[in-house]
Amino acid sequence: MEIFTSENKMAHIVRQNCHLLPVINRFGIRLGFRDKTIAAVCDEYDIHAEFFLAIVNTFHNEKYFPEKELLLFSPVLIINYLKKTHVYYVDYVLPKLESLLRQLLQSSHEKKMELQMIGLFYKKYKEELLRHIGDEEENVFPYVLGLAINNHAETNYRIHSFEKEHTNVDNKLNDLTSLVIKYMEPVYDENVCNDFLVTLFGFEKDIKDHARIEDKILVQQVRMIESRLQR
Amino acid sequence: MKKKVVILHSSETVRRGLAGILHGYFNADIVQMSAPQNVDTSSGIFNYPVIVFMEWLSLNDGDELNFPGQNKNIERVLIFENDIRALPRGCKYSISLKFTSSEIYDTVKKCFDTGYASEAAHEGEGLTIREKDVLKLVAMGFSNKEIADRLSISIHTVISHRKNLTEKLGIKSISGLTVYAIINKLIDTSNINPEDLI
Repeated sequence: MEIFTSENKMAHIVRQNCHLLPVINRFGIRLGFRDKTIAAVCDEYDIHAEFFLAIVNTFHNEKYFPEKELLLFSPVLIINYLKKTHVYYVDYVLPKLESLLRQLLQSSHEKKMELQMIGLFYKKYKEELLRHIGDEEENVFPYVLGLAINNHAETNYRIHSFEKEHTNVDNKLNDLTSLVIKYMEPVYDENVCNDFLVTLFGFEKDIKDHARIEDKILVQQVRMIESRLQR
Repeated sequence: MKKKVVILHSSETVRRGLAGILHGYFNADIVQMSAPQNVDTSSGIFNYPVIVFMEWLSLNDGDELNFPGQNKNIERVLIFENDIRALPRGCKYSISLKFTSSEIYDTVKKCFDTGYASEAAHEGEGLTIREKDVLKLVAMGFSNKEIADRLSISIHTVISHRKNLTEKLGIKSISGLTVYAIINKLIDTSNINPEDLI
């Protein structure tokens, strides 16, 4: 699969993979690139082009993960990106999933227990995800920023307590998709259901990528700083 | 539906040991255990799907397997003393007395999961009765230890059943398994609020 470089046109990468659009948006970049290259657009928006490319390529290509390069970027840049991702999930993806789920429930004439259970499972998943995001925003990120900027930790928080959480949240999302595909009773509006699944798949991919950056990059960076400060 | 099993071997120790493994791991129904020469074919047990574990003593690789007849209701698993030799025509599975119990488990599982004889048991994603028992208790929120105590099996066996459940259903989380159990009516939710379980 193609690895994008700074000489590629910005329009080219969107044509290659339209799912990169929300990723690009997280950097504040909007459409209307004309024929500008990635380097030119990044320069215009005052964005670290190498960082932008590392993120975009990691998202585009599951097998591409420039661990060494990513580890060199400032945790501040990474956290900034991760926070934008959270906003995208909370403000856009979750409400969209909910609205589709509501339409799905309404489209079924009978009160189907399967759909209600899937709705309930989604509700529990969302609660857990929001708790996880809240923990990152309130504990993890401030701790990491404190370490990166001031070289000292302001709280007693330690990064190792954070790592296990991800697998749980990831597994549930995977289960939600399986439950819908395999065990849904066929009494629903199929177009709404397909929309729901496509959104779910996109979300699953996005959140896996997000978790990969957190676990493999952010956590490693913090470990390095922690051991440097001999905590 | 329980899988019906016949064990034919000259050693009583082997017969009983195998019966213990098949019953413990697969909840198989052992319908006959005897030395090969004492097999009772008159009881009609070979008229319905059955898996026969039989001692194989032939020294010649090409020997035909003609017992207990070329009945298509029968799947055979040959038991070898030492090394596995070439299998006679009509037989796909074999175990050796040198196998560890996990090797026996893997072979038998393959046989149980693919053969015609398992078709009747293939309701609900091919979960065995034991796996369904474990799933029900997982869904009710019991821990591995509690499940082991209730079903009188080891924690190791509970974990192995849970691994199989996840593989068969494609569902990893406890609440996902609970939703599956409710949807498939494995647990009765008339007196419970499903929200408390998921």
